[in-house]
Amino acid sequence: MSITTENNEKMITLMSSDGEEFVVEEAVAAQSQTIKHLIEDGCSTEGSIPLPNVTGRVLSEVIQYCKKHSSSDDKEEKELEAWDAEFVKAADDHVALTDLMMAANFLDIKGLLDLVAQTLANMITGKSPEEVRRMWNIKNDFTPEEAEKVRKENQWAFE
Amino acid sequence: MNPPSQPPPPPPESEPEPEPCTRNWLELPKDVTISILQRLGAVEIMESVQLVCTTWRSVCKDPSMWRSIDMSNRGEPYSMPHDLEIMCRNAVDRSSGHLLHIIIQHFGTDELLHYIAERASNLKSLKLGLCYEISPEGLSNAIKKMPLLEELELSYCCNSVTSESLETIGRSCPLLQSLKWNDQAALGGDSECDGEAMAIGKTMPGLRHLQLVGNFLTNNGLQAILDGCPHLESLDLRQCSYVKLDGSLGKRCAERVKVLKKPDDSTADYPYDAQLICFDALDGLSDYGYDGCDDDFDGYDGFDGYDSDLNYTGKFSASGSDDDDERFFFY
Repeated sequence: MSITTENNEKMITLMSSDGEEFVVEEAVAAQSQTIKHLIEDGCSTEGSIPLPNVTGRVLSEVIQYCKKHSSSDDKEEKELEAWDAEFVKAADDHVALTDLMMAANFLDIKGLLDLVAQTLANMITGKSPEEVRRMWNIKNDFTPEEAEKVRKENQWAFE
Repeated sequence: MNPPSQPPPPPPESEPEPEPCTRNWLELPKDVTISILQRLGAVEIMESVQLVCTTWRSVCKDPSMWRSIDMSNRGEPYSMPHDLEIMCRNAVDRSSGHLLHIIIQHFGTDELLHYIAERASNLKSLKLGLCYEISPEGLSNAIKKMPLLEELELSYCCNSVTSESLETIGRSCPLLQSLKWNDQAALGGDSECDGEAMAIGKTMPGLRHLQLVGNFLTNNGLQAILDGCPHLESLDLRQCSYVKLDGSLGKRCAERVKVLKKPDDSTADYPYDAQLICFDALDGLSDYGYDGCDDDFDGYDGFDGYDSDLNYTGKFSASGSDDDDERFFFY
């Protein structure tokens, strides 16, 4: 449903996978290239835009990010950086960040994608393979043969 | 990622099941995983990331992981348990010709440069720091095979930079926009020298960013650069003690160049401080934000954190797409 605010800002409604509705300014939502294209294709006039891949919890975080980034201009770059740092910190843990990453990818929001990807990369930095596995609950699925092959490939290791 | 041309189907009428709150990393699409893992340094990827599981192993073999190879390090190659040169060759092999950006520090030979040049003809950015074993001929011969180079750093590569090698570079790389050559003061020399500046002015008309910290050029060399590089936007002349910017040339410089670092400007944000201080034991160190010198070079922080005024961060962008390479020049 297309609503207009007092400031003549066009509003649109986004619906999460769990049925939660969010009414946001079109300019905020259009930070997502996916939503922008849906709006351009006229998909927002008949009601809300359904986002079947994003839960309400994650979508509310994404909207928070988009609001901040649509209202700031370049002069506030430093402040925005600090805000971004707080934002990913508030996402709490790597599971929440992974959800956010999936949403940023689906919604195609480049700034958010870069921010979260860098945060996740930083979390891996300096960790051993075993530590990374523990952190993300990843199973070591190398067969003994494969493990041996990997060792052989590591020609750069000094004996 | 391209958005769907049609709207996604509406959500089901019934109350959907709440999603599980945990998500396994391995559920991430491959391109998303790549966009995360490619932000890590090459040593980290080779020594840790690819050993986590078979999925990550396969991701780490994907050429798109290796468009950028970051082999910056803290300068302790001899205490590290691996041969960085072999590792670098392996990383270059994995890029399968898609390599666009590479950083090499504290190691590297003419042979390695040749190896890269033979396999990365699309290279846009080459950053060498503290690569003492590279010769002027090795550098020139390699760069001749990198005609698309837009960004070049040759910091503290001692013997590799001469006016001849700079001329070869300029002639071979018509797209060159950014040159960082920070060197001479560190070598302990102390005589005026304009040959290299003349070579830059003569052969690099497309330069937009030039960093010459600690160079021995004089106003004549600077004049040649200003005459020959009409598009220059940023110029870093810190510690260039023979340049005098108080006259008309200084005025011209300030008018022409948007971001100008003068000889006496602080080097507090300059990543190679420790080298400068240790080699360049001149008076007035406090003028350069010096507050205590390590006996070794550990004050060096790697290539990250370049001077923000110059819009260079030295940090690789790690987006998965091919079309955002200009982000390197921002910088």
